[in-house]
Amino acid sequence: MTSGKRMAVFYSAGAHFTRALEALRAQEPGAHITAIVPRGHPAADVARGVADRVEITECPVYSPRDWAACFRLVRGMRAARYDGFFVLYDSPRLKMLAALSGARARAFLTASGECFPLAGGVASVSFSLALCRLWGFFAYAGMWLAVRCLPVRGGKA
Amino acid sequence: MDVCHVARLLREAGHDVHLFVPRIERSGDRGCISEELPFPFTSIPFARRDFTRDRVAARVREAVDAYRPEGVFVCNGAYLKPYVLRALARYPLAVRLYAYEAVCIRDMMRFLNGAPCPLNYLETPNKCRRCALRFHGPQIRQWRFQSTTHEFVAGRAYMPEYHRVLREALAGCRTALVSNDLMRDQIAGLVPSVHVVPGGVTVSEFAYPPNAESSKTNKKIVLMCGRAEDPMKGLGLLREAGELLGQDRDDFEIWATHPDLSQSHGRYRAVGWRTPGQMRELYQQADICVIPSLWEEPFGLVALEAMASGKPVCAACVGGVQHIVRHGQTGFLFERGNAAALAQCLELLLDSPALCAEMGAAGRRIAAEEYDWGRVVAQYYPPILEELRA
Repeated sequence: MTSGKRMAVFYSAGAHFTRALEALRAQEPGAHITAIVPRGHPAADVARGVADRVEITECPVYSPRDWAACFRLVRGMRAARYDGFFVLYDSPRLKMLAALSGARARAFLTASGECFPLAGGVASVSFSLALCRLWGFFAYAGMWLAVRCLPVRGGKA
Repeated sequence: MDVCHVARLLREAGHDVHLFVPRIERSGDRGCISEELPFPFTSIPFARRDFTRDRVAARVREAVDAYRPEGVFVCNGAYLKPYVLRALARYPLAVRLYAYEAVCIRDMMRFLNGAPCPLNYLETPNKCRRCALRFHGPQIRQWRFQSTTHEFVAGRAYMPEYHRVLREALAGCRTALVSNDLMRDQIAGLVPSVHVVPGGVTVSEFAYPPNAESSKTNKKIVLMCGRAEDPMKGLGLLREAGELLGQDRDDFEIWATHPDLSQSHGRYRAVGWRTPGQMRELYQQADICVIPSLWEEPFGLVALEAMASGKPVCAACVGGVQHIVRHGQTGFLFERGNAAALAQCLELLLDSPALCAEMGAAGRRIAAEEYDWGRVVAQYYPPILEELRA
């Protein structure tokens, strides 16, 4: 990526938010970096020292059940027209958020500052989310059966 | 943190120390070493799908075999630790247990429904397996894991074999290092020898005497540090004690390192998560530190940090904390879950700045004399190293 681009880093609970921001700044010294931080979170203070702009989100934590708030978050991100959108974990929900952001370059940042691209559009991420749910359901059923039907011999209960 | 200090000091004492760290690639911060370490280390990278019990055990063994150590300390880790111990069985082994990972496969905290759990996985494995699966179930069903659940699945801790593997792995160790007497008793018959080894603190990093100008309010600050958002840490109890005290006085505020700042109300103020450096500044601002834990804190590092900062500590009489805080000397111990008793302790300290200063000074002295990392390593580790060599 070249300098002068608009980048956004979306905060997630974890220890490496600042390090990720600093690593991005080092990689893209000329970029305009926006840190998207939950309302009332001290990460905003930390981000102000590194990012060019801090955007405070409406909710401290987003849940898909609160679809209206999620919709407003996505609408705000799309309106900002970021060139690059960065998250802190390679999770399906964050992948989905990155896909919905409308940014061309989407990636997640690790604690060491490494940057891994997040592939896939909204449809493919939705499909993988559904697949994860299905796989998880069957995996859990197998574990439930193991716990119920295969007791440890010699234990008290 | 513990590993870093111990390894550095053992190296300074002339031992050849090497750290091996499994690391999941493309993960947030797991196994990531972002700072310069004062000793050599090997990072063992894993793709997320390769982070299974067999592969972790094999890769760690391969890396350690290339180094040919005289003894191995197996420290961090949860459900994969028994497999790593089993893979390294050819070496003299010392296992470090930081929490209740040997007796609680739910979340290693041994805390359930607002109180310490009476069960022990080594004795009641089937009940504990059901409890653990209920706990990890929501993440498993979504196939979206945090690191502990990832290890629970990777280590197949829900299977009956895990119980045998854990017992055999512990029995195969020469020694175990635990943080308090309760933990020692739980595994005493299983491991040949068990050492209660405290954690430590670098006392020189904590400014002393406390800077009187650093306080930002004219009210006294009662500080609770740590994961205040976790119910077992007892923030609710502290706020209840605050309400009791608040009926007669209005000269104090309760500050807690709770991430949800929007909960600040009245005399309670959430100050958010803090970095270690910011924590040291926070201790400077505080007048009294409180540890109202409802669970059996394995060690109680927060108490030690507060003492190193020269602050009096009011702590619940639980786990390792009760051995760090000297009742009437460096602070007060109160009965677990008793808000009225906590309020009484706080009242004594709020009424007497001289007592606070006296207890703070005693705490600082004890932290320096008994818990500075240099002292801890020099006192506790030579006998363990001897056992490994024997």
